Amino acid sequence: MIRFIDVNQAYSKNAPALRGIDLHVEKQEFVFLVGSTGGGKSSLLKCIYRELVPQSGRVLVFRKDVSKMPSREIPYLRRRIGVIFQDFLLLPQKTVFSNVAFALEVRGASPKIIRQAVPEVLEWVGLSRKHKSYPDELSGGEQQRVCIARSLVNKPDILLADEPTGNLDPETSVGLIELLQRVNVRGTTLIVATHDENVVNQFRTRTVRIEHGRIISDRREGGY
Amino acid sequence: MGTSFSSVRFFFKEFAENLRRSPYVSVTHGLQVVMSLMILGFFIILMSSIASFLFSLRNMVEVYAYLDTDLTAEQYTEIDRQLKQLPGVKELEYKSREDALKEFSQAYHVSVEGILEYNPLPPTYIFRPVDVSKTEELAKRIEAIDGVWQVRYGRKEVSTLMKLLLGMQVVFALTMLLLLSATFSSVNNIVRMSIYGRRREIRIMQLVGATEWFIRWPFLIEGSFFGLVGATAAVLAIYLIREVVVKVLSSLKIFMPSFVDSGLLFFGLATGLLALGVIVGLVSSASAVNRFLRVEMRRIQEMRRIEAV
Repeated sequence: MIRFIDVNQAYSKNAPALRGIDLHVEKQEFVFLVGSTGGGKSSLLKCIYRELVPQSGRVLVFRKDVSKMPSREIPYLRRRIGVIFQDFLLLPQKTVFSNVAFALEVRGASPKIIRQAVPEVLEWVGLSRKHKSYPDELSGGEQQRVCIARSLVNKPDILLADEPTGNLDPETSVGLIELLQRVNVRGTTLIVATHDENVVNQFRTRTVRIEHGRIISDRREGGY
Repeated sequence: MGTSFSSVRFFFKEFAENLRRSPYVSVTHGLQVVMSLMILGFFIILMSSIASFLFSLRNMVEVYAYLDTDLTAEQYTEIDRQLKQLPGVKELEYKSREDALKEFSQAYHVSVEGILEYNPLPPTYIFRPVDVSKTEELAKRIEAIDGVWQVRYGRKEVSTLMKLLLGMQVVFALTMLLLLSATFSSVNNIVRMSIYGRRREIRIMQLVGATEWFIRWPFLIEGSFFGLVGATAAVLAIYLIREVVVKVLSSLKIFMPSFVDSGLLFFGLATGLLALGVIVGLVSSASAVNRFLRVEMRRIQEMRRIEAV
């Protein structure tokens, strides 16, 4: 599903972000990316959804080298990849329903499809009762669920989460990862970048550690 | 079909949202568009009036070629043939010695033949050039023909007229450019403010797979809207002021430039301004959104990379 072959990326000569990255993520896998801040986790995720183009190497997603993908094809790649951020990236002036619907609207979905798909996904993330609320009326965990709902409403094949629990308390963090685990069970490939040791240790799944742009360990059994 | 209709609905919804979010900025910049296009409209009226006057002068430029009086019939025929073959002549009129004498006598109430006992006036050819700027060239060609005694035309006046016309065209072009730049800049500012206010949406749109055209459309609609509204307001203002001017000038029985009074020309001006407003609005907003998508987004990404490091 995702393959990195000798990928290198540097923001400057003294600041390499990724160094010789080789990584293979299978379909429906759940992978934690761990490591210290600035280690290269976010850069690796960005290479997958073509936010970042590596200076050398190949990034194969759905068997296509996304680093060489023409700009006009990027939107279509991103329609198959959901992305979740630490800062939620929600629209404060839109309700929960509208925030989720926005992802469908920008793809030109009809009102009928929106009316059907949005309540479904909100129910799935446990926010059906909050569909009329605005983001600032929600807790951090709920806001992150809205963000997940927005990513899932397009039924992506891959879901990338960049520090999704960064702004959440430990209990909410566990609840959120459980939700992501359910997403994974449904068939979505999941990569979660985090430095939340507690979460990683609780959910024993494949864990890749990146430090200073290099993969220093890749443990199938998991654990921080 | 359903999908494209949904997209169009989305574009207009987003456009309405843009207006709703920053109404004061929109009104202020919108007024700038109105002012620029209104000044442009008045300027077009003024310049058109001057231009129509100067162009009417152009048609009055004539070159007089006087022939020798002692030519034989064969020589006349040859000169006539050569003169009629000259290029760049719009109209050519021949005035015989007899006609010239008659005209002179009528104009000055004098019998020249009575005084001199012969007709001293030469046969004359009157040329009206196609291109006034080539009058001198035409005069030189005529002068070069054997048997032509003298060539006369308002050399100084033609030269002044040409300079005036050229100067007017330059002033017109520069002012047009200036006013269009002002309109362009006003629309550009409105759209840039909208983009800035919606950068989070744009970011999300990019992440969930919206195409660049999908992101552009609401802003293009916004730019065209401001161009159109600005032009409509400018046309209305020009119409009202024109009505007042026509009434006042008519009541005072003062000379009225044809352009001010002509409904057809006003219609042309109105259509032109509306089209110009929409085009400038469209081009300006496209430039703003393209700049954002290409340059500013890259800059934001660059800053994020630095932050990440």
